Amino acid sequence: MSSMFNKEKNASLETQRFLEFNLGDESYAIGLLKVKEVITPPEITPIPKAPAYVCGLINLRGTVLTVIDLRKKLGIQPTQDVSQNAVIIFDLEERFVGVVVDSIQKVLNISEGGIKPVPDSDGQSMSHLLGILHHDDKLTMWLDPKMLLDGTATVLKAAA
Amino acid sequence: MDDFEIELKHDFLQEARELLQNTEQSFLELEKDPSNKTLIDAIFRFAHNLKGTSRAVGFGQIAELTHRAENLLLEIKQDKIFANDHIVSTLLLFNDQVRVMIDGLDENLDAVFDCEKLMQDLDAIIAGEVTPPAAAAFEAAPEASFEAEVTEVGPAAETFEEVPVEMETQATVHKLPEKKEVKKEPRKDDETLRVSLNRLEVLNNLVGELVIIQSVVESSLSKSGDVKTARSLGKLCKDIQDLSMSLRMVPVGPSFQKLARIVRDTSKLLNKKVDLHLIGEETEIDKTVAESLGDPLVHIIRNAIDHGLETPEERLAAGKSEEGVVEVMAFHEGNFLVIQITDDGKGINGQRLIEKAKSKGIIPENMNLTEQQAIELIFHPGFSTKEEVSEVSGRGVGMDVVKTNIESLGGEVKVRSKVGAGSCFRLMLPLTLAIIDGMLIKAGGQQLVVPKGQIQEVIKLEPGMITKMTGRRPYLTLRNTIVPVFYLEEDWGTLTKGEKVDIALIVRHNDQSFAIGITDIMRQQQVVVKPPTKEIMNKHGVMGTTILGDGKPSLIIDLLNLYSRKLRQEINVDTIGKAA
Amino acid sequence: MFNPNTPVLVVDDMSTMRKIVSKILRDLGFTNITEAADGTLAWEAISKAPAPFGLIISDWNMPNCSGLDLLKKVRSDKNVAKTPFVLVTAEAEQHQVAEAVKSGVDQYVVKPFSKDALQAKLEMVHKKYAA
Repeated sequence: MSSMFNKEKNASLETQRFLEFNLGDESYAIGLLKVKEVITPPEITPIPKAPAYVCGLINLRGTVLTVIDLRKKLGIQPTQDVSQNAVIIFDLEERFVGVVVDSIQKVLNISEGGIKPVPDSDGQSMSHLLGILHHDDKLTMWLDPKMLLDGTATVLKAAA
Repeated sequence: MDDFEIELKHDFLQEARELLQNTEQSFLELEKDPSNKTLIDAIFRFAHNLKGTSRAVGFGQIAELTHRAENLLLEIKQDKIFANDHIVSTLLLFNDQVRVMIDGLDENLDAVFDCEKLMQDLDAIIAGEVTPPAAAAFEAAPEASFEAEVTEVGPAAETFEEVPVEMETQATVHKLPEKKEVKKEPRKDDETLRVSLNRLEVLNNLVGELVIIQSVVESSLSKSGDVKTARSLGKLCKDIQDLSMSLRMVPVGPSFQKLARIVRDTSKLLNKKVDLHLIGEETEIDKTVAESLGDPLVHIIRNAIDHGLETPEERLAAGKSEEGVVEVMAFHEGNFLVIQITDDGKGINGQRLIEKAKSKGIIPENMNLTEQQAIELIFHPGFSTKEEVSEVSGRGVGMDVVKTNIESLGGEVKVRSKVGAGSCFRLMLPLTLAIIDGMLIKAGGQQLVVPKGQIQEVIKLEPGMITKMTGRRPYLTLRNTIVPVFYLEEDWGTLTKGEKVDIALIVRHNDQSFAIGITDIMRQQQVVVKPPTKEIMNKHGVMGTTILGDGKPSLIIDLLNLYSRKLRQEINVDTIGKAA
Repeated sequence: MFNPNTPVLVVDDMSTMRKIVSKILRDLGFTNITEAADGTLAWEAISKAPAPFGLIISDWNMPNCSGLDLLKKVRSDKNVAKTPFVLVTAEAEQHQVAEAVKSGVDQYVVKPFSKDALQAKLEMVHKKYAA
């Protein structure tokens, strides 16, 4: 993972765009191209006996989608205030998946230099991240959308 | 080309394609029944309409080709030429060529085609096989008269006064002593309009939205006392929804009709005699499924004729009729659309397959297979049973491709075969995006849809009807039969407070009925079966998802799938049978 | 020439042909055009029309009820017998025009025809009825 970024560091000065959002108090982002749209949380039909992080099904203009709760998958405590909650619809090429987030922050424009490799952290799996985004004196975790595809793998929350 | 002209050309191609499809069957039947006037009339009309219109929209090549065919058909119509095998074959080639041209022009309106050979063939038939006088007239005529027709609007601009002259010349050319009244055919159904599948998809989704808004409006209308308007709005929306749902469904008929042609060509090539039976052509499937069904079907049919059916000599020697029978049947069964392809050929020799698989190293030398397992070896990649490479079925592309194709549609392929008696392939396709009659039920605090077709009977449960025994499956007695009872909430959700199991759905699996306890039946309605989302795809008992009238997504539960296995496991150990 | 408001009935079993004829008529200024897909439907339109058609342009060769059948029907119904009637024919049918003439067709045009050709025919028809 880190070698990939070292190689590309000087390759381009182009900026990449991300959508920044919060899971609990933590700041995450995902490539803007992977985001289809953001909706206010719709009524969700639960799926009985499904894994806990699967919230259920929603109707997005006639298409049935699964909504998942990444916080449950990553072991993040949701915020008390649900008024800012939103569902991001991710476009994962072969399908759409909805993800509940605590709040939407903003669109980030980040130059290559602002994207840092994921630090190696003793044994803790960070495979759900593609990198760390440096912006506004803040660090945001760049989520690998592939983790949304895998319905069964458990991704452990990295120790801070 | 201005916009109108472009639009017109595309309209024409669409209309021509419909004509082609409507006429396909007539072309094929003509071979069996070359003297059938109705068929000739239908094909003649096809050529006639195509010629006039293609010329009018500026597709000169189609006009030129169909003009030849029309001439030939006119001769046949007037009994001057008998439609022998060669002629029918040529007409089929004509049919093919027109299709190629339509497809080609659809992609490029300026496309040019090579149909010189076919036109010569058509001309040759007219020239060579007609009785001399008529032939002479025709030989001289077509080129000249054709040239005259295409020169702009020359003939059209002629004034009425010139008619007599025109009549004379034309009459000598065409020699039409008696005009036969065109036989009345039942009118083909409505005109059709081509709409992209994408737009239908959007329509379906929008209608879903509409229904949601409607339910909001309806409830606020009802609150304000205007129940009547609320009701008619509801009904209107439901009608629109029903209609938009049905738009994606097409009968399998057209996919089947292509098979008739395949059978004809394949059997000709192999010198085998085949009688093709098509059953259930009106069975509807989702357009997308119908489209992906073509190749697998063609492959199985070719295989059946090539590898399955014997030559006429072999058949006679085996005490069978000279003509092999291939039957293709479509029907709905449970949650599946089944297409069953049966032949009465020599069947699949399991023993030979095993030897072959061993020699190819597909299975180990010492492996023992049951007859059925042996037969299923044909689905193994790269397995071909015929020694020599066959021109028809080819090699390398085997049944494994069929299997993969069907499985990618979410279906499965099954095969049964008996040496000497024939083979039967069953393609089971899920009703993906199909519409089913559903029953909206409440169980375990959830609204769920179950396919109505699976339910034999609905019973209102009275106290004491269900007998419970510790450690055993509860049962109820229905007309002197013991029926095991399952509770949907056990597998699907939990009973919320105050909910009771008041209703039992009776479902039948093979000879065994079982009851499924639920809380309530809300209503019956047609639902569009949408594929389950990836996350729940492999969940046992999930047949798909759907969107209910109120816009909420719901799961469609396959009761048979969910409980039949459970039932099988329990039935052997359970002693409820003895309790009776 | 015909009044642009004249109700015109266009009859052809090929929708593409109807479109062509209607387009030409619109280009010629006609505004009130009805289409029918065969003679039977055309007759229905004729007998139900709120205002009688001032011009019928019909294809000859159609299933069920041909253009000639339609012509005969029109001419034998005293309510609409005097409707100008133009037959559209394929070149192969021209030899049969005599029968159409006997049955009272006003003009015929041979497919394919241009706007000018149809206009010329229509002017002749109009002159005949105006006289």
